[in-house]
Amino acid sequence: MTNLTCTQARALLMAWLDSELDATTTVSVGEHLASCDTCAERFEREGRLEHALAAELRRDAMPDDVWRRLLGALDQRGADAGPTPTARPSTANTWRWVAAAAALIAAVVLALQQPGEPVGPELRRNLLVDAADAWRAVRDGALPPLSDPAEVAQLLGRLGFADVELPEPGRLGGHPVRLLGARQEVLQGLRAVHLSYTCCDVPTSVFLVSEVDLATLPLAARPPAVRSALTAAEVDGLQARTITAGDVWVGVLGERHMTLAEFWQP
Amino acid sequence: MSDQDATFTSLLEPERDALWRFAERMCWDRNNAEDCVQEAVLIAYRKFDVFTPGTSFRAWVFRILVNTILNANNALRRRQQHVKPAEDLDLVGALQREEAYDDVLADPEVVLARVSDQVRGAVKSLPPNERMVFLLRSIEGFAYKEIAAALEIPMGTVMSHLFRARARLRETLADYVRESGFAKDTPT
Repeated sequence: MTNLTCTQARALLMAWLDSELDATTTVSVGEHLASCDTCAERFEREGRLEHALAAELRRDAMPDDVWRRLLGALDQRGADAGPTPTARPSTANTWRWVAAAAALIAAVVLALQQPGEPVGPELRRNLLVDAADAWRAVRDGALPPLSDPAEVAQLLGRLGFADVELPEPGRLGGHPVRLLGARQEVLQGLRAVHLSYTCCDVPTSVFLVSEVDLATLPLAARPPAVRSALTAAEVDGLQARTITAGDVWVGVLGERHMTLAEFWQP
Repeated sequence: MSDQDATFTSLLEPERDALWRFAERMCWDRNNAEDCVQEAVLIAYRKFDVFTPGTSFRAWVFRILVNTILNANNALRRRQQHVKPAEDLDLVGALQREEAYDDVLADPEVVLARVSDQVRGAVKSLPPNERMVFLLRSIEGFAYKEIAAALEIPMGTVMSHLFRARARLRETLADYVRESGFAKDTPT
């Protein structure tokens, strides 16, 4: 057996917590703990912390409706070997709907502007609010995924845009729109769908972001354009309900196209 | 329902909460989590004839779920592969806020009960690769070897991810305690 120092024993704490030490090393650690009250107390408390942490995080259960849908999918699968059934719109469809909704709403809002006129803070804020509301409606299942023009018209009506003329490809809300791309971007665990398009020749980037903890990113460190957008949101008290963990943050920056990194970091 | 279907469901049901909480903490949102769980379970169902009775159904179905989540996020899979190993695994020495952390350790159950929401938030804010290893080990109880096999990464990488995740969570807990000051009132 090896006589361990406190430093050596501490280096084994993690594997000890996980019962991953071999028998010989386990005995050595046990001997050290028997002779060192400080380490013994530390190991015991670390063990309690791990246990408490696991107990706390194991409390979350699968909701019954999710379980029922899962069993339903299994039943359906057993009944026929057809495509995977989903009782709820898939995430991919949801994102497509959100992307389309954001673009449509952007067009609707921008339609109030004269072509070529820069997007002002008021319109940016409106777009942020509307797109966030659209996202919430989709997320909460209040709106189905986008599928055909008739549904789009109906959905726009529900969003309060009943008089909007349905766009033709390349012309949204009566104004020329060019979608340059929609892609997923990841930045340090922050995941966003990035829509990049021009409307009335105004370059616009929209980021649909979930799982954001804004508190980790101080406002003062943001680029001026982002800061002004956030400030505008705060004026209406939107920050609390719009920019929270698990919710969505839609940023519309009319100056130029940005990457997620540029948007999020100074 | 066939005997095989009944067997599958009886093995699946005890794992439903574990599969859900893992997916829900790894995915974008609840819809994406549900999609991943449903897809993984249907894959498991389809391949159930190759599952070896007597081996761990839990480990098998989790491995499928992990793959489903990684497939849904290629960036995460790429990041799993390239990790600088932790220089050492001294969890105690790694902590910068030793005094506040002592308060956490004074009565961890009480502290955790009082910062339950923050703990969940802290776990979700871990980098995805660290979060995945932490959840598989600390919450679901898989061995390092099983995690390494599921993620197709070396054991040393598993340990590095786990070490960093734990160090981050402990720092976060210490921050909560220091900022709130409530541990001063906690009986020891």
